[in-house]
Amino acid sequence: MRVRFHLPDFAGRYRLNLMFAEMLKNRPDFFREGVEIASFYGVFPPSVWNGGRTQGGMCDKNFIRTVVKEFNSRNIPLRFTFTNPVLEKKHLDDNFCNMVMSIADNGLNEAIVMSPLLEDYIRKNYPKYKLTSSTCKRITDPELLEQELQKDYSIVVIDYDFNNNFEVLEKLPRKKDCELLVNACCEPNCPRRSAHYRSIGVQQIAYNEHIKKHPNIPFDSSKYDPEKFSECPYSKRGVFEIRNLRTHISPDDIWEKYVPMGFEQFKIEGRTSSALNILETYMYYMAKPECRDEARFTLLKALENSGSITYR
Amino acid sequence: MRVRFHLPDFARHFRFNMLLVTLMEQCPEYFREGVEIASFYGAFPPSLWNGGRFQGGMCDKRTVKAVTEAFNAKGIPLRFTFTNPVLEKKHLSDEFCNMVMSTANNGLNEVIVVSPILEDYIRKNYPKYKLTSSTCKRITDPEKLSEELEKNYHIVVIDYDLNNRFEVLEKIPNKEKCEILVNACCEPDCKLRSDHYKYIGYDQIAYANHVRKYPNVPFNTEKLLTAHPESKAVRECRCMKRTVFDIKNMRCHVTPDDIWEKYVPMGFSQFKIEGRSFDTLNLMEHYLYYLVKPEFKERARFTLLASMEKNGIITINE
Repeated sequence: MRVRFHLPDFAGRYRLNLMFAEMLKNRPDFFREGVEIASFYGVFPPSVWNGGRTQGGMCDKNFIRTVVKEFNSRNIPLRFTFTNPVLEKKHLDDNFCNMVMSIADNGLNEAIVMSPLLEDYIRKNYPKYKLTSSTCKRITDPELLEQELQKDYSIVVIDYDFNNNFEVLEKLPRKKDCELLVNACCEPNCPRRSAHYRSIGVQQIAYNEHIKKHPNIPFDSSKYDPEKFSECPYSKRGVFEIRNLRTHISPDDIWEKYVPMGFEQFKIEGRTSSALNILETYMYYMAKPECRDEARFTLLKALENSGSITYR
Repeated sequence: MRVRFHLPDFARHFRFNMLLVTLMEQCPEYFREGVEIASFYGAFPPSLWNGGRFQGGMCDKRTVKAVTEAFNAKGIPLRFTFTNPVLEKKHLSDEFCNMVMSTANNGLNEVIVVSPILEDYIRKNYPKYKLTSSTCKRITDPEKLSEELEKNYHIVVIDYDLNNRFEVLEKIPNKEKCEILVNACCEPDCKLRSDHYKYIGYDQIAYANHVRKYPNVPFNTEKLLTAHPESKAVRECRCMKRTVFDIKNMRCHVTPDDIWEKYVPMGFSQFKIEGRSFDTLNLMEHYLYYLVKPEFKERARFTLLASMEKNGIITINE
């Protein structure tokens, strides 16, 4: 049995995720049957191609090389969330994103795509990358989803509104290549979801232009959020608040329903949630319930011992 | 039903313990039936009279006053671990310890004692303090324990080796006066225990004298080994490093289920959680284990950690 999780943010959560990967390797007894890390997804900032969540920050080539090396040497792919839906042709030759793609171009790493323009560009220039079809596409029609699964993607991330819709899920082909977003914080059936992703894309481009021109002036994201998506209260939901949502997939459901049906890839979202929330989410999904306390304690102590948690 | 817990370290764990108090006020539904904080015990450093665990550090009168007022305002006593077993007459007039006793001398606060000379001194000079007979006395003979319970102590802390020995515990009179140390990290039946307390006492005196004379010179614990070479064995003891996950199978361990299902129905109502030398994460796990309903443990832990982060007690650099 393989239960493969795609986990958030190799860059902002570099240390937490590396320690988590180490714990999974060294204490397999803490974890549920078959748990594997399928990838850590996210981007190195500032990536104009990034989508899904706006990401600020900066990093240099040394950091990129180190992060790629550390995860890849553990046989864990990085998967770039290059899902900005509002990219134009002029963005394709972005220096930073192309530099990242070149550094990680070893056949192990992957990219998630949304923009057909960028997808074509990557297929042509970086053919070694496996491509994932993004959940940002918001494919909620079962027929269109089946068509998407016919295409040349290594993985298709299923729209969260299909979660627990077993009638549709049962009929899907290539279940092994489907990825289910298990812990969505969003309101089911959100009418603003696609617009939100577009707005994030616009913001990401504005951020990148801003830091190129004014590296020392803080970026005011509210200027690029006329529809006030940043005020959406649902994005603040934590691991305890999401459990009763219709679209929530519990760990028991993963093992008792989804895996027996043939699904084996699961996405845990959390690029913008707090470290504590993500840690609790990892424990919830991947640790055996009876080992959660000790696993969490071990991870927290590892963070403390490495100086990632400090006291004042 | 009252299930009263004595919790460790009002000084070093001040902010964390205040967060626990706040959580109990704001989310009482997280906690097991009848849970109360009976006291926070410990000492303000550098207290020469301190015993049980070595305590370094320094603090000033303002801290002493602020911490005392903060807990007392919540109706929670401080209980001073003035259990140094090797005190001599000359130590009784220690300025810092007497300042602390005067500052907290309001009838609410308490003291734990071992040394008869200090006990007499406190009874005479600070009669408002309720006195607890310390577990450091290592009273393992049931008859002697009954005698101790006849004395004029507010509480008697039972030796950990009597834990789970229900044939002895059942016969104890005044069970409401007994305090049971539930999470001992020490090896059961430890032959070094009394010696360990003794050397901690010597260390504490040496430390208090050192910081008075040389406040800017680091305290060298190696010197203590030279002064008392026979203390090597206790200094090498690593039991205090045990976590909540390491102690659960020990003979002297009292589980939370045992507290509610065995000890409380027998008439015991006071329980001590040790942890003055624990790090915050280990102490937090102990609190969650004993005080919080299992179904709320994860939420309570999350709330405590998030509050610690929000209040700047911890910083997480991912």
